[in-house]
Amino acid sequence: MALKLPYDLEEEILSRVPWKSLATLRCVCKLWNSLILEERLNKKNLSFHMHSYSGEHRFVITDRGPNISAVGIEEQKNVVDPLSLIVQDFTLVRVRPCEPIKVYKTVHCDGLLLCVMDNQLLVRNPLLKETTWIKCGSDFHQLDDAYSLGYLSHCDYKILRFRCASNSRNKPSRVEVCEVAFKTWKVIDNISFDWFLSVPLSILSLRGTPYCIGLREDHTAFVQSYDFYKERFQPIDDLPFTYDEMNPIALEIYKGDRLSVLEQCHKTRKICIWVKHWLMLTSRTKLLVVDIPEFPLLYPRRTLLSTNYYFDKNNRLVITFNDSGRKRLSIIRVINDKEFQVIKADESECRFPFLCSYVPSLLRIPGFSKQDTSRIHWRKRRFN
Amino acid sequence: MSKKMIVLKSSEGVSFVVEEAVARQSKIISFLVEEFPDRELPLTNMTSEILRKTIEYCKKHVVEDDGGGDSSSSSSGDLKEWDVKFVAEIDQPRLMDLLMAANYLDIPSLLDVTCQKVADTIAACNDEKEIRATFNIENDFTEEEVEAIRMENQYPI
Repeated sequence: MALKLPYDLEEEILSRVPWKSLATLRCVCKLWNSLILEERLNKKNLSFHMHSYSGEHRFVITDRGPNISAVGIEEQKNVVDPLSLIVQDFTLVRVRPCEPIKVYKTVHCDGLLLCVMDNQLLVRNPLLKETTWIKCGSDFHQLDDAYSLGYLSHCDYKILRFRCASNSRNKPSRVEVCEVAFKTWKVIDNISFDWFLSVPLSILSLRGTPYCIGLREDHTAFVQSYDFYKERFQPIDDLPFTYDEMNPIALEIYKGDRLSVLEQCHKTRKICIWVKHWLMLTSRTKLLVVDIPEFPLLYPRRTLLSTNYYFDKNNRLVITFNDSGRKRLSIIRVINDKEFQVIKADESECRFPFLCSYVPSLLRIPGFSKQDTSRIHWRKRRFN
Repeated sequence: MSKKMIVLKSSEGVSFVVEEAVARQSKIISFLVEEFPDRELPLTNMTSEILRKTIEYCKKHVVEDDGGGDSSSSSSGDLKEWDVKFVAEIDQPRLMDLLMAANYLDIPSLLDVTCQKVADTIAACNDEKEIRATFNIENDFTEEEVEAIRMENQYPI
């Protein structure tokens, strides 16, 4: 025994050490190595860090080309220090070296990324470098098709993809669910759509449940969720503001366990963020108001864009911003009620990339065995 | 009305007289008090020093019930600060003993702060050698094995 403590206590301690120390921890001794690779510890660690640690938060940028990068900002002790950017290359070239890969969009769930490509999907844990490919039909359309990754219990990851009845190409509506472990698709019948997806097509996954912002025919907006157990969409509640299609809106996870919504007024540039606990049925509380007239419009409306945001250790808002004029993506951190800092997030000139938030975790992809590297080679051969 | 007192006895046989409300933060003691109301409780695997520390923590964290609902003796912010100071003052081997005591006596909040302190100590180490030295852990890996793990964990991708 490494610390001469019972296993469950060593586990308890290790689950509290940040991800950065992962490789070091695994090298300490055999017991720690096996504890860290164990499923139970990962779940514990996940809940700890989603709640308390924001330094690992990244924005994943998918450029509709082969490039995927994760950008974040360094946590700083001093409020006024200039921002410094952390860029990690998540490009899949090394996963499939011979073929050009086009990733349309990426969605995130508990440290796993789901990348949507032609004819296939990829579920990947970039930290563990575990990857699994799933075949699917090829008629992806970025305006109409929504994807999400979720689960009922922790080991049975599922992919949800759907198209509402009201879509840009007048295609029939559809809802499909794929079991990641078995790679089997199931068509969910008898879902009628009296709503459609509001642009942007941002869907997030909180505790395994997909959430998105839906719009009714009368242009009222609400938070929609999908219940994998009942195989039905379940409206959560109306947005705490009146929907205006000119105003940027966004849905995000707040401190790992709550849904939050954001609205920016396109005239006054005022940003309001509301938070709601995932279980408590009490009304939303207004968490934050940023009222700085010089603040840029977060993204131009009538596009596929969205914005992502989180709160850093000092509870300051960190938010992405798409400059339509200069075609670039920036990250803004709000320092106080008058000041904010801007940093360019992407060196290449990208036209409105897809974004999602990402927090690393050690979650294993179902059916993937860590020690078995032969399997990776086999997969590479098969898809090259 | 005087508060009910109970007696806890350490492994060295030293008796500690504690208010029942203080001791009841331990789920084990809470259970024992109900089973054996008027007996001294022997805690044979805890030294006087660790037991004294544990009692100090429990005294600080006791929720005063003066008939008027829950009112903690200190505000939660102060309490957190106190906790940090409390564990910072304890050296490594004693911290481990205290962690074991918290586990044995089933005091979740004390277990939480001690585990967090150990985790912070681990995170503050520069490499695995420093961790092994700090916690006196034997290296049961070969150099090749360590290298293999390192290769696997180059971050990012």
